[in-house]
Amino acid sequence: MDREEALPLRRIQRWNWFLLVLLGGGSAVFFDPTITGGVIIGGILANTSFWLLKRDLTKLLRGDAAGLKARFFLRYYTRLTLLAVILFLIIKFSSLNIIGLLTGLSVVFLSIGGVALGGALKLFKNREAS
Amino acid sequence: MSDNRRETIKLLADFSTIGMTVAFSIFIGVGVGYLIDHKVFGGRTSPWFTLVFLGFGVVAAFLNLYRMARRKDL
Repeated sequence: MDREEALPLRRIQRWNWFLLVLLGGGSAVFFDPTITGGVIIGGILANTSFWLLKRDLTKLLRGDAAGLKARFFLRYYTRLTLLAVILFLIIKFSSLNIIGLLTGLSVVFLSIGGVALGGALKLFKNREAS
Repeated sequence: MSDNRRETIKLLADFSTIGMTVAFSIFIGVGVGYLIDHKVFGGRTSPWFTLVFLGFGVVAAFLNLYRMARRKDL
């Protein structure tokens, strides 16, 4: 099995966007725009960060060069700094709801948890069948 | 399970741990700051504790990342 095929990263990414649409849509129906805005902005930040991580991770797993690991961590530090600055600006200067923002940021946790649970259940069923 | 697949899953788990710990650090930092601002001080200090705890979360994330980067087996 190819390394990239073994990783459920693409599935997680699809779930990320699906959950963002679901939470954003639900929030738009039931809550006020500051909460919906927080959910959407938080979700976009988390999903973009995950997409960039996935891209770097795929490169890292594909490549053999020694410098790749250092570059991976350097990019991660840069991304983290950028994320911190963006969150600072949002919290300080915007009226977006923080709970909404945290809900949006948690989209990636939910996807990873869901995909991991799905994988574990599949493994458990396969073991029971054999 | 083949060695290649086992190695891939181990690497994926290690690097997912980085992503999760970094995200958790920031998430918990902002969450705790928000709770202090709104539950302890009734919103009078908002958004200062949220910002300070965002800073703590980011520092914790950097430390976690630094520890992972120093690991020889990655």
